[in-house]
Amino acid sequence: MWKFSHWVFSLIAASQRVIERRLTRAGMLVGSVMIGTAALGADTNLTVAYRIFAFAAALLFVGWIASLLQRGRYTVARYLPRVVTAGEPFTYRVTVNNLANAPRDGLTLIDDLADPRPPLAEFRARLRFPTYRAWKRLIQERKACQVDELALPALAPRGALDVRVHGEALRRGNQHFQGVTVARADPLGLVRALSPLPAPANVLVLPRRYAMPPITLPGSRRYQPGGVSLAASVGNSEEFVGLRDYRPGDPLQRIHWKSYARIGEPVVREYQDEYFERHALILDTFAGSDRAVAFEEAVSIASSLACTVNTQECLLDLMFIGAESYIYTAGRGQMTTGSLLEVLAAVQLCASKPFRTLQDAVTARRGLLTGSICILLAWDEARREFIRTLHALGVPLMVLVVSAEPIAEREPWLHVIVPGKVQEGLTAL
Amino acid sequence: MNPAMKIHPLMLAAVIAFWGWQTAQWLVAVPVAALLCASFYVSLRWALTTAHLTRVADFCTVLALLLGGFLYVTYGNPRAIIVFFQWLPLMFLPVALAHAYREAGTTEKMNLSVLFWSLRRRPPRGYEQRPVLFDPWWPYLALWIVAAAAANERGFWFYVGLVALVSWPLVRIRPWSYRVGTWAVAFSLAIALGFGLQYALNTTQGWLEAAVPDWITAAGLRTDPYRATTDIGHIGKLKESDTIVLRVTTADGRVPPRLFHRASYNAYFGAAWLARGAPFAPVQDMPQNHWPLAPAQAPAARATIYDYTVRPNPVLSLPAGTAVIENLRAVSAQRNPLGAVQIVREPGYFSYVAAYGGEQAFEGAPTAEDTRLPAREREAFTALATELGLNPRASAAGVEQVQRHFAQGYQYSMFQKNAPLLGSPIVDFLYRSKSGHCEYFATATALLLRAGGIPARYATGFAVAEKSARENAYLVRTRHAHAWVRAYVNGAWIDVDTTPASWFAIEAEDGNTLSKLWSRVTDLWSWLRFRAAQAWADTDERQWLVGALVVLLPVALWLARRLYRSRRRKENNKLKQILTSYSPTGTDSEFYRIEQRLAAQGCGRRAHETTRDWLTRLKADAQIDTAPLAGIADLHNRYRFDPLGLSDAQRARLKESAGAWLAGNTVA
Repeated sequence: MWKFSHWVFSLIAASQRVIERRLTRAGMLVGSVMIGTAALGADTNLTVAYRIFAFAAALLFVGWIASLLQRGRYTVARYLPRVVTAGEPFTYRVTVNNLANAPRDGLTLIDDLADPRPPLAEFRARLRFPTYRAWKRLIQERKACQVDELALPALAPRGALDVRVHGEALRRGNQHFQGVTVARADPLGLVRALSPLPAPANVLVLPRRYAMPPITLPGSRRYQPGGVSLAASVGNSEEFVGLRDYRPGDPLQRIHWKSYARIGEPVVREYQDEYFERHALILDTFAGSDRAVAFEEAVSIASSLACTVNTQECLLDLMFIGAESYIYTAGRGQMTTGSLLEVLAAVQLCASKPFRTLQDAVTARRGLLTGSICILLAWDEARREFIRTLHALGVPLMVLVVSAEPIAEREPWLHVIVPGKVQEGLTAL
Repeated sequence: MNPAMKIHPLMLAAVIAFWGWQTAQWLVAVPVAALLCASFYVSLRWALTTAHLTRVADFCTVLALLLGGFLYVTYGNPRAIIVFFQWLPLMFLPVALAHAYREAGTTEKMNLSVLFWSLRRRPPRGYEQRPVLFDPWWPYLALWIVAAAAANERGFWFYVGLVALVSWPLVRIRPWSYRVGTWAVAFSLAIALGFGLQYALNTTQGWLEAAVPDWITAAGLRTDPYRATTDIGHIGKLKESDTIVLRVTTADGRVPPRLFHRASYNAYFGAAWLARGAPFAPVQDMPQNHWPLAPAQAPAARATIYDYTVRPNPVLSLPAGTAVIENLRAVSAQRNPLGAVQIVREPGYFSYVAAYGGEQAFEGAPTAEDTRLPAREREAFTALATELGLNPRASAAGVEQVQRHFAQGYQYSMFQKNAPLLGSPIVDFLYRSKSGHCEYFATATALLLRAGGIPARYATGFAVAEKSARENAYLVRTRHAHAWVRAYVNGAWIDVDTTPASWFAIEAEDGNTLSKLWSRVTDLWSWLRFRAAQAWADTDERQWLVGALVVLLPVALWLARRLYRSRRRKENNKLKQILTSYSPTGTDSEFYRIEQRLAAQGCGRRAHETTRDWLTRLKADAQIDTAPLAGIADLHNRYRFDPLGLSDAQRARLKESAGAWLAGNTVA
């Protein structure tokens, strides 16, 4: 059933694509009339609808033959932006050159985006039951951008023209552009001749962002061993500036165990003294596909926060769990906010690891953090335990839970953001 | 919007006029075209939003559903579908009018969700549905053209009109970079191809219907008076249905004749019977929808037949010896010498009374065709006729002899196991299998009688034997379709049915329990539809259109009134809101009492005068000392118009000084 429905839905989507590319608006109307009259005029003795059917079919047939006889000679240069933002429209410039010695009109510019049809494995994994409605949702989810076709003005012989193409970034992720097709209507204006031109490109769609109120980050400045250069390193660095003898009061974490073993006296790593704020932006990625909407909102909130925090004055660690633990640091000469957004554009749900992984990753860096912003997808026992641990470690916290489920007996530091009402929730922070 | 894609009002008028021409409904087409086209020229507009349009579209959909149901019950398919399509643009006229007269104007696009409920549903989670906007005029024009096709005007001019109407917008959207000649060649090619294709479609259907048995093409519901393609030679089981096709009642409860004849045929070729040399001649109608078939005579009995046809121009089912058809509403009627009567009328339910039992029938005398034997079967049938001793001079005895022959050793069967072993299937039936359905018996009987020199024809029609207690009528189903022989005996054509009488019971027993239960349900539905159709069938399309208008006009007026009143109410509410939000202060100022006092003395303040001007005038004209009044007026103005108002002390002073002035200036 899955294979068959996937095949049928794929076929429908492919046919729809062919029809939308091949037929003009007028052609679609003639095609619809042809189908309608085929049903009504099935018995040719009862009505004369079969005459309309015959004429409509003949018009489309002649149009199709005429479109086959055309040979389009064009070159196209497309100037795409590198990144765009989800939920925002964008434009880019396209230059179309007519290489023929005759004028051309009735032209349409179609951007060929990557095929959004999901493969069978994904189709099967993502759906509980194969329905067309769910299939359409899957297709929509796989499309990061939508670019409308553009009717081009007439092109002079060997002429060129610059046009602005309008698109809309639908959701975060990477959008592959395969090429550009210049379509030209046949003499009857019904069927288009297609001239596909390869022009592969990629556009990164950054997460949707919300307007954030001025927020006060929790915590204060803290000593950063190794200074800014080491603060930028990911995970626990073994590099150090120098070694010195242990003095009572030095934290055990800084004992250099190899030297201790060699000398027999405790030796500690010494770092250049630096004090500044270092915040962690902790993103919860542990949820099933049923919480995909909440996860998208959580990513958007993380992006909005990443843009709001002034990283000239502090460091911001973006922490999440994917295939492994990821920590990206922005600020003070390290990564830029834009780079963080690019990371967030690609973050995915993690179904293979337990929530505990995130807790371990965060607690390992507890000594560095002056404050944490946790964006969680639920408020279950595992997450409560995580927050309790951070509280116990004395890490100042701001906790945002993106969930439609109401939470009883909420602490003052716990903010609930309802998916679909994120802006209202953020404004109330 | 691209100007070339904009609809021209004349184009709209032309298409609606085309519909009016094809359907002959000018009385409807002209006002509709005028109403729609006027929207392009007049500035009268209503503030209709997409939500309003959606409601109007829903109203139209409900209207279309109700009308569709009514048509289906009254006329049955396919006529119901045809009539439905013919009037579909009218059913959606309210949406078109609402769109045409909305404030956004005739060039505004419409949201597709107005027409499709599926687009109004909440999109799936995470799926953003962008509104699909479209120009509704072009699909609406297409709908009018398709509706015109439902009128089924078979002339050449439909195609000409279609081409002319389509060429108009095609010329406008033509890409100009092609040469005019290229466009003209392409369009001419399309016209020629379309014409050829429509001709081929119609011809192919005709050929197909002639080539396959009637059982398949029309499920026994249609009779071609020129040709009957039989199932002789068919291997396997015959599929038949329980659909009720006729209802027969008699006035005094007498049993109607067993066989109701539709058409006879005189030439046998292969597996088909043809009516050769039997041209149709018109039947003159008499007053009260009487159609005489035979010379005036007193018929012995009458049977009322309630018929149903899916095709126009049906062939009537009549008992043998029908002299007059009474109460038959038809455009015209014609008959052929083989006894078939065909009428010209629309598909659907109709009824007529057959007056039969007279001495003279209207079938023509035998011709050479009625005794001709096909070459392939001649030898076998002649041999059997000789064996049976058939003689044209003793035709009655010959018929009896043939009936006796088929009553012995032959059996009725709806199933043919093997292909014929003796070449011709009918010869195989005669000598070897001796088993078949009515077509075998009728064909074999006709050919055997002919071999014996007795003129015989192959007759088709229905066997009437099933009485329904619920309907108090005889029901004739598709599976009651029957074939028999009309033999010329002693100067008259008589019905000779050699099929074993058990055939009726065998066919009734056919089918499983489930199908029989289902048959009961369909019988009940058929009866309900029949009763409804009986009640409504006398009204023609024009009448029910008027009826629909009578019903819908008050609804439309009520809706218009509601819309108008809601707009008025909205405006009133707005006004009320403005009025209530404005709360003037100082209206209780005592200065107004001074004004009243002076007005009573004929020194009232004029409408345009400020208090200062008024007091100046009073001082000059009426010689009134306005000095105390100036201070009071100043306080009053501040109390009345100063946003900061008066302090309590100032307010008290105003009251006090005004009271003092009033006390000192009583009315003279």
